[in-house]
Amino acid sequence: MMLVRDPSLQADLTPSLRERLALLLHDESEQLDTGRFDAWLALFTPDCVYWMPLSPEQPDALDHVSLFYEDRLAMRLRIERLRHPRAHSLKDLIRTSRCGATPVAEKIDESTGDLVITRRFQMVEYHRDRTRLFAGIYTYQIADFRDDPRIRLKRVDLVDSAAPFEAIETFI
Amino acid sequence: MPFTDLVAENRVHRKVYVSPVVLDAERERIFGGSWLYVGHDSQIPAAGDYFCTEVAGRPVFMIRHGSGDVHVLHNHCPHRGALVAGGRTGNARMLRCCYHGWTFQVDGRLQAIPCMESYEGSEVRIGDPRFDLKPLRSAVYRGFVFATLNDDAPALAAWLNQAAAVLDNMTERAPDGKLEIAGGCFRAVQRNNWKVYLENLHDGMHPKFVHQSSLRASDRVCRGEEPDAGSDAALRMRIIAANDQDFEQMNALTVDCFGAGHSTMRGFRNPRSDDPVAREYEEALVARRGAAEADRILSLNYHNANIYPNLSVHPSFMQLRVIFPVSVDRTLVEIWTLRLKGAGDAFNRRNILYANTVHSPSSIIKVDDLEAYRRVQAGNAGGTEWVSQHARDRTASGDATGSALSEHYIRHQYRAWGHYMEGHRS
Repeated sequence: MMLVRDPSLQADLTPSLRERLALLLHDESEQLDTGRFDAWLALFTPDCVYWMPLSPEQPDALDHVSLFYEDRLAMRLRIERLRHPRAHSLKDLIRTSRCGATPVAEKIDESTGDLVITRRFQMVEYHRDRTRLFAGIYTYQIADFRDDPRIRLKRVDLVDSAAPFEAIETFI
Repeated sequence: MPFTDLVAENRVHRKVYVSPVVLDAERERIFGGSWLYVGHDSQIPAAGDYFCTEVAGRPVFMIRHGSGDVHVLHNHCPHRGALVAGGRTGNARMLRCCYHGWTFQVDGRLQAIPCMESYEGSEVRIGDPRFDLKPLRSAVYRGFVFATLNDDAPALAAWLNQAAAVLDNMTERAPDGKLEIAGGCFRAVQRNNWKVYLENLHDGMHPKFVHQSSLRASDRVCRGEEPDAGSDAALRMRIIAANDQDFEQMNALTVDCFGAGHSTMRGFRNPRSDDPVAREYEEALVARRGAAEADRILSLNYHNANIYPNLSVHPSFMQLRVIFPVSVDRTLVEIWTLRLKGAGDAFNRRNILYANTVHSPSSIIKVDDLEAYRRVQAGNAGGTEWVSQHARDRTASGDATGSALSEHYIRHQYRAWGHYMEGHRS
């Protein structure tokens, strides 16, 4: 249910903690797929970032444009818009279904002490008679992972991030 | 029906948006008759650097010659027709076709053909321009590279008309007087005819209706917690809130029309803000240009300019939008951000944030525009035959200047459309 890459993490990541972290990632996907956005946002830290780079090579989101680069406030904006009755494009609901591979605890991020977890995923989106497939890898940074794990960063690297896109309205 | 019968003074027939015959003619006569923006010369700084794109649906590339000149060439091997320059960008001392190895100099001249003896007695020979990579007529204005398929088009500066002043202003905003493309390119696919997009860009009537969802979302999120002045969050909110200006404010914006379909909009929001990052930038500009000149440059408040038919520029946040018709109901828009040389990183990063907020495929502002465009496109498949552009019709007075509540800039676009579609080449 969760693999551990760095042997020095083995002791820290007890079976019950692994289960808890795997459940966190499961809920993160599930709450998006079921449209429970407040519960979803509650899984994140106050200083969280949701980032989807445009280029796999870009070192950061400051000097290069990104498909998404949202702090908590911008995430709340998107959630409020998704709920707004006159979000014209959402007259027909968007439905999504995500499938994730086994998460891998990769390392401790040195600057924050956060646990870095990666997970390959695919997401099917259905909107107005059209189905789109998004695929790639999620990278999570989990703050306070031993006691009160919450997501500080969710990074989404799409395999086709450089492709031309129509509107992307939901979180992926 | 002749194409010009599809356009009247203040209305157009819906077929201009949905007919493949019209689009083919537009490619040939409008995109093939006007100057088109190709790229910015900062994309190809070194000798041999090239950038591939399209002009009027034809593959081309711009390449930097050792002399420093920029050449725009058809990306089309005269042998069997393959693309010669590969990828989106690259660097080449000479260009070799991947198929049979014909090689060309960076100015397009044929240099060598493997097994040249195979051509003995034929008309193929080095030095015959029919076997070079064919150059397009091109010109560079302030680093902005344009090309045209039309040898009779007026000189670029004359064709740009007052749009030249907008490109001047963008360039002058850089303390070092130079711009560079930086930070990547969004490629957005829109489900609308290319004209639907250009017809929205000075439209002061739509924001209150189209952008309700993002406006009300920002009201709810910000209630009781204003972001810190000068923060990214504050800038994001200011960008969203600009769409909430009332009709009186929209009416106060100035939209000018000139040249062959071009137009500018001024005064949309005050792009100058009073915070440490903006002050540092303005001080850098003052140090280079003097206070009076810096003030003149910064008070030219162009929100955007349409350079008909394939470019819209956004001077206050240094964005370029390049328009490629794909089919009657699909348009590809490439969005680039320019970096002001001599300005600090923090200031330039605001333009990246602006691009993310407004031009990303995920923008909560843009998605509602895209939906409006899609509905215009879908609606124009049927129903009544003519659609209206009557708002503030002052055709009799020349339509030169108006507000963002007027549709005069759309009528101006269609006068250019009619001119090109009648077959005029200059």
